[in-house]
This record gives sequence, C-alpha cells and structure tokens, in this order.
Amino acid sequence: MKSISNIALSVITAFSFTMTSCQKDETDNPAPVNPSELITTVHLILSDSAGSSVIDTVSFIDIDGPGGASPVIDSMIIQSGVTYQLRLLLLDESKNPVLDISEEIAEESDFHLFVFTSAQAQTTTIDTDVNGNPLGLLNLLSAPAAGLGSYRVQLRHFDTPALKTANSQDYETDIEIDFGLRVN
Amino acid sequence: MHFLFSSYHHNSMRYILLWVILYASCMSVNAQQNCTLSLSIRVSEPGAGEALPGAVLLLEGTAMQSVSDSDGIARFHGLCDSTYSIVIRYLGFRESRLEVRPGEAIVSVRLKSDARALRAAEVVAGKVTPVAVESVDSIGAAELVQSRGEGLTQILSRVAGVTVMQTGNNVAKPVIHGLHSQRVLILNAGIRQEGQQWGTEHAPEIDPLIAGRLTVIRGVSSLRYGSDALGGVILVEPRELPHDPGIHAELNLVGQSNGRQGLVSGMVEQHLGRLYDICWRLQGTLRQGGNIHTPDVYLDNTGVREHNWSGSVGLERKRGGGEVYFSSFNGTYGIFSGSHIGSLSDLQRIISEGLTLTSDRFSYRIEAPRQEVSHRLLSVRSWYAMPNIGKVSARYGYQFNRRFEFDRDKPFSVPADQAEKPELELNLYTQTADVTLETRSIKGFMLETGVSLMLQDNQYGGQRYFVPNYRLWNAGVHLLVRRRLTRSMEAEAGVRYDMREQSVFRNASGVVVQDDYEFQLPNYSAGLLYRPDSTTTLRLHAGTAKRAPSINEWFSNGLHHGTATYETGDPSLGTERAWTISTGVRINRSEFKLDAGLYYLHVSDYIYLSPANEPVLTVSGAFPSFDYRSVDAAFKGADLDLSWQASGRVGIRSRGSAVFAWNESDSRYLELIPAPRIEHSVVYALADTRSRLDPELTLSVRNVFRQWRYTPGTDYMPPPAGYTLLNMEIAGTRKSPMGDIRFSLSVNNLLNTRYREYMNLLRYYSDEAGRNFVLRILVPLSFQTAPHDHPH
Repeated sequence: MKSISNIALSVITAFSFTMTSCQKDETDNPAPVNPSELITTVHLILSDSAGSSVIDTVSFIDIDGPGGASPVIDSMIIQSGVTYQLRLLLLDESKNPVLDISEEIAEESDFHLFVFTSAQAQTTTIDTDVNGNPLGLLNLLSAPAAGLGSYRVQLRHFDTPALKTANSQDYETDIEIDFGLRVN
Repeated sequence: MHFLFSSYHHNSMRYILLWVILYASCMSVNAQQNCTLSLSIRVSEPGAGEALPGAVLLLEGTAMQSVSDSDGIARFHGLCDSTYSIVIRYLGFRESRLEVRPGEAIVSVRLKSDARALRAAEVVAGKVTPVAVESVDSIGAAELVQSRGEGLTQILSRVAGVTVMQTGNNVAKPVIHGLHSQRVLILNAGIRQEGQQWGTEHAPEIDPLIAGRLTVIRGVSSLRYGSDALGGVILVEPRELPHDPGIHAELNLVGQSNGRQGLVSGMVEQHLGRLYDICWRLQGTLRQGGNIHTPDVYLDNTGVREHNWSGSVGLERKRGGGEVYFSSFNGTYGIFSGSHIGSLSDLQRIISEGLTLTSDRFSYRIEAPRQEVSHRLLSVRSWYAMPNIGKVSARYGYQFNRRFEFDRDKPFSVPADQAEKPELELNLYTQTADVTLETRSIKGFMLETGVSLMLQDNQYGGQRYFVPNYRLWNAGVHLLVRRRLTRSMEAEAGVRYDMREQSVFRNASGVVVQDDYEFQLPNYSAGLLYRPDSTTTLRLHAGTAKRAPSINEWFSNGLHHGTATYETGDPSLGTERAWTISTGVRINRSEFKLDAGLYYLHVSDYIYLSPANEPVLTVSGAFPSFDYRSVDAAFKGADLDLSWQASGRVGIRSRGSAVFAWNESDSRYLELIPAPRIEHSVVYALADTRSRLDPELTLSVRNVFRQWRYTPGTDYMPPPAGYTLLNMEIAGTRKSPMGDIRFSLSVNNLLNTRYREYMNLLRYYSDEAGRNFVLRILVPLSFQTAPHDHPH
C-alpha cells in the first residue's frame, strides 16, 4: 500500500512541474489593458448663431480616463444678450487614431439625450434623433443678464428608444460635467 | 436575547408576546414527563477489544445521538425508565443494534468487522481528528435536505454567527463574525477553494449539492488549514463513498415559485464489492431561474443558470486508500439591471425618488450586467495507516477558476470582435500539495503535523482593468498537540508558519513592471476544554494570526458600478495581525441543547476600504473615492443556538448572533457589519397514523434589527429598517423499498413582507424577494446486492 502514497507523491511532483511551466509565460507578460471605450475629451464649440465662425472652444480633457491624472476643465465666458450656436464634439483621444464619439452618438441618436442645466443660461436643442425627438449635439445658447454660475452638460443613455422621453428616470448617465460659467 | 434587543425594534411587543405564549404552551406539554435516567455504553474493537472513540450511537425513535469519547464511552441522559433501541455505527464495522434499559452499569458492546469489505484498519485510516477547542458547528444531511435549492451561503447562514453578504439575489458570500471574503477560508473537498474570493460580489463557486456535511469553524484557530482565515473556516465535505456493495442513486427535485426556479440533481454511486475495493460516484446538478419578484415588481435580469457535476473514484484497502475527485462548477448570474449606474447623481436620484428601475416583466433571459463563473477542481489523495504510529495522508489539488463579468450594454458602438467579450476576465490557476501525519493517542498525547505548498497564477484579461497578474508561492508547516490533562480537562496548542512570495506583473503603457513581495506569517493558538459532566463542555481559546494582503488591497484601481465608488489599492500595505480570545459553553442533553459563545477579536493594521477626502472627478461626474488603508479594529460579539425538545411532538429552537465592530484608529463604526438577528422556530410532529408520512410542521420567525451602529454620512442611505420574516414548512417521509422518499413544501416570506437588508450591496435599488413557495422531493433509488452474492 506504500505504493499508493508513492504514486500520489510522484503525481504531485509531476503535476506541479508541468503546470508551472505551461502558465509561466502569460503571467509574466501581461498585455496592456485596452478599455473598449472612453470619453477623454468633450469640446463645447461656440460660434455665431449661423455657425459660420467659431468664437471659442470650452473643453473637458482627461486623456487617461477615470482615476490617475485629474481632468482639466475650462470655464465658459459668454456675452449677455448674444445668441450662440453650441456644438458638441466628443472624442476618445486615448486611441490611435482618435475616435469621434459624437459621430457614434449620432448613429445611436434614439438612445441618447443631452441635457443642459444652468441658472444663468438658456439652451435650446436644435437637432433631433431618428424619431424626431431632441438629441442635443447642436443647440442655441443665450444668457439674458451678466452673472457667475455653472453650466452642466449631461448625456443620458437609455436602454431602449421607448424609454427616451423628457421625464423618463430610467437612464444611465454617460457624461456629467460642470463647467464654470461667466456671463459678461 | 430578544428581550435585550427589543427596545429598538418596532414590532417588539407583539413579538415578545408571541414567544412567551409559544414557550409557555410548550412548557405545559413538557411538564407531563419526568425522565432523568442516564445510560453509558462502551464501544470496543473486535479482537483485543481496544476502546473505539468516535463511534456514532443513535437512540432510535428520538433525535438523540452520542459519540464515543477517547475511552470508547458514549452517554445518554434524560432517559425515561423504559427499553431503548440503540444503533451503533462506525465506518468499517457492521452496524450494531442493542436493546437496553437505562441504569448505573456501563454496557459494553464489541463491534464486528464488516466482513464484506475488510476495512477494520479504517479505525485509524478513515477518522478525522475531532476538533477540540474551537467553536464548531455542522449542518448535517437532514438540514441539507431541507435546504435543497438554496445557495451554499444561504445554507451556511443557518449556523449562528454566519450571515450573508449579497449582491442582489444570486450572488452571496458567507460572513463570519463580521469578517468575509479573503478572511474566510473555504475547504472544498479538502482543498482550499481559490476563486477570486477577495471580491465582495464574488460568491463561492461550489455546488452545495455535493456536500454531505458543511462545517463552520469560527475564530482564529484554523491552523490546520491556512493563515488567512481570521473569520473562520468552512468545510464543504462531500459524502463518503459508499461502503455497502450495490448501486445507490438519489434524485433531488426542487421547484420555487419566485423566479420560477427549477433544480434537478442526481447522484449515482457504487461499491464494486470485496474483490475490487473500488467505489465510485457521479453527481450532477442543473438549476435555472428567472426574474425574482419583490412584493411589488419583477426585477429585470435577475435570473440564474448553473450546471455542475462531480465524480470520484476511491480505492480502499486494509491499511490505506486513495481517492480521485473532480468537480466542475458553471454558473451564470444576472445582476439586476436597475443597479448599474453611470454616475453618482444616478444613484442619488434613485434613492431620493425611491425608484426601482425595472420593466416588471418575467423572463429567464440573462443579459449584461452578468457574471459567468466556472471552477474546476481536481483532488488526488491517498492515506496510509502505519501500525502504532498513525495515519499519513497526502493530497494534491489543481483548480482553475475563470470569472467573466459583462457590464451593462456598451454606450457606443464597439468593434464586432470586442462586442461579445467580457469587460472583466480573470483566470486563476492554483495547485496545492499537502502531507499530514496524525498520530494515535500515545500516552494521552495526540500530534498532528503537516506541510502544505501552494502555487498560484492569476492572469487578467478583459477591457476594464481591475487587478494585475501575479504569481504566488506559499509554503506552510503546522504542528498541533492535544493532551488530556485530567479526566474532564483537555488542552490543545498549535503553531503554524507560512512563507509567502508573490510577484506582481503590470503592463504600464507597454512596459512590464514587476513587484516582488515576501511575507513571514507565524500563527499560534491554544485552547482548553473542560467537561464537568458528559453533556456539558466549556471551552476557552486564544490565538494570534497574520494575514498577507490580497491583490485587490494592493492594486485595485477602478470604478465600481453599482456602488458608485472609486476604489484605490495601496501597494505599501503590510500584513494584518489578529488577536482573539473566545469562550463558549455547549450543553448536549436529549431534550435540551445549548451552544453559546462570546468572542473578542482585535486586528492591528486591519486593511479596510476607507473613505478618502477627495472625490475622483470623471467625465461622468464626481465619485466618492475609497482607499485601502490600515486601521486598528475590534470585533466583539455573541452567538447563541438553543434548542429544546419540549415533548415528543414539539421542538423549539432559537438561534441568534450579534457583532459589534469598531474602527479604533478613526473612532467610528466599521461599515457593512451585519445587524443583530435572531430566529425562532417551532417544529410540531403531526399525529397522522393513517398515511404514515410522519408529517412535521415548522414555523419560524426571523428577526433582523436595524444596524444602528453606523456613522451618519458614511453611506448614501442610512441602514434600512429592521424586519421580521415568517417562514413555514410542512415535510413528510414515505418509506419505500428503495429507501425513504422525502418531500416538503415551504413558504418563505409568508406575509410577503417588503424589506431591505443592510448586507445586500444592491439595497439602494430594490426591495428583497417576496413570498416564495418551495417544493422539494428527494427520491432514493437503491439496488442493494444481496449479501449471498459475495463468498465469505
């Protein structure tokens, strides 16, 4: 019966060596983690109401994604009584070539809605999704009076187009950025 | 205990009244009897007639049983003056039966060898050293049958002191004395279960239907098993392979109304008889469930699918044996889709408006977010009984654990080749090898010594970084000594020393960075056991243990969807050092059983996810940030398990536990500690002589209090209110030529109570499950080979 123990021990030894050798390489050489998608950059492009000339670009930039280095967020400075065109450009600059996320949002327009919140400024969404509901990549922005405050940009993501209504609570927030706002 | 806690429970008056009435009514039943006699039986081996410790004696017609001590003596108390039938069982011997009346004299019984298998040597070979001084609780075959269809963790929570940490309805892990995850060690068929057990939303990858017994060893005293188990050790022991020639099979069927869940589990086993000494078993389980219903709505994507199987082959000879065991566990678990959020304001909106984001539809479909987990385990073991020395055993284990986590659908279009890939993929390869020597009692001393080795590789895949690759080596030695000091006092002392080397590999923008760590982990433990009489045991235990940090405590770095927190590890964290002292009393009389324990645990440099000052700012808003940090922590608590067979018909049981945890460094409460709870049950054996089903009715009330030990402002939502759940079960047994067919119908959450549990990580998003009807059927199928088939 000693042979049983002997067999077991040799099995143990044999297994440990074989297992060690076959896993070794992969553990030592981890592949870089490549997140499937990131929104590293949000540009708010302000131009005249016709959209013919760019006046200013206000940006949120966080190239390494959540965590790590903190994002850089610009403040928005606008004139009271002027109507601006506000266009959004969303990028993934961690990829090469850079991905245009706003293009992908436009393709899935019926799943998305941009919501803009500010006590100082009013935003009117011009563009619509495939069902004729507002989307928010293209807007008009104006402020009636001078003041200091904030401008919040939120991108809501709906599981199905049916859930996309003005008062729907069943969404997930993809983007939520508070920009500083000064109205002169 | 419930009087103590009732002051902060809203239903307290009604509740106390109910229990006073129940206890009082049972007392009147009990007053009719006056049985105070005792009976002692000495069990010995054939031949020289050596004392046989560890034999199981059952008093037929009652629930009483006793185990022979090291002098081979087993005692029964509280007997009436009448004739009793006693069955004596011991592995490798023929079952003996005797008729006795209680009396002063010790009755001697000499067992007969089981001639069919000639397995006398198993007196040493098959025996597990009884654990002397730790707090040990087992869930045996009967309770396992009652709990078929529940997950491993839910079954374990029947032990006082064990609670459940959940992520929704399908993912649950055991919490012992307020500690969980990497601080609770699970032994699956004798092998340390190595999954990604550090994750609070990672459940143990074990099919509870493989178990013949579940044992919970609480407290730092588990030197035999490893150095990490500050909370305790859970042993999942498969049933022993059969010893009687013939084919045995068993079929388990469970249906649950909530989630429309079905479970089918089958087992077939055979002992090939004397010529081969070989036995084998195959077992498999299929489980499928759909969306869970709260008292109000169906929760989207809360289904579950599992397919598990295991097989074993054993060889047994006179002095030794061997066994090969393999198990495969495969589970897919839906995570409630309304709990996956993109930003902190989503969570705040859900809480402040009391939203449950669900479509209120039933479906078996499991979409993302979901977990797909598989675990393969191979165990090869052999043992050999050396005459006059003891038993030596060797065991090799190989495990492969794979975890896929799929996040809720991707917000933007994704390349086709990545669309079906999990966001998180972790592959863990573990090998263990152990050699143990247990000596026979030599002049009152019993020794156990052993060496254990572990080699582990963790490989990361997927698109969302969580923990890096690593390779871990661990070598441990342990020595345990037990000695009987006086007739009624026993002492145990143990030491374990582990050495651990761990290399961590990270890819930092194309460059592989290697970090090496080394740990020395000494553990010590000592205990005293005092038996003033044969039914009472007092225990005192003290110990100290060290635990090395787990990979997430060093390197996790990422966002937790569901809890809306950003977690950051700290690679400079060192080991934890725990000190514990515990005491307890166990009374085991026929009509009355008590198991009560008190413990205190102090952990220096307790690694703890603590709130950081600065939130992490991301494109989807600011998230509260949590850092892994070392603090000094203290845990103290009490467990109580009381049962009383008030009469032949009525039995009462009360189980409760409370743990208080304090963060000494920051002078505040530790988060996510289970609230005090107590459960009472009454079993009533119905008089039903006609159908001969022996029906039994069980009514139980579970009371969980509000966790008021909470520092305001440290959670998005204060701990939920306490709750009371009512459960009912009716069970019966029908004798058949194949064996006993057992069936039961139970109703959980009978009153369809709306409640939330503090230990559920998804408590922000929905209520717990509503009423659930469960039907269980167990059909044994035995094809016993007639004894005359085997020549003697």
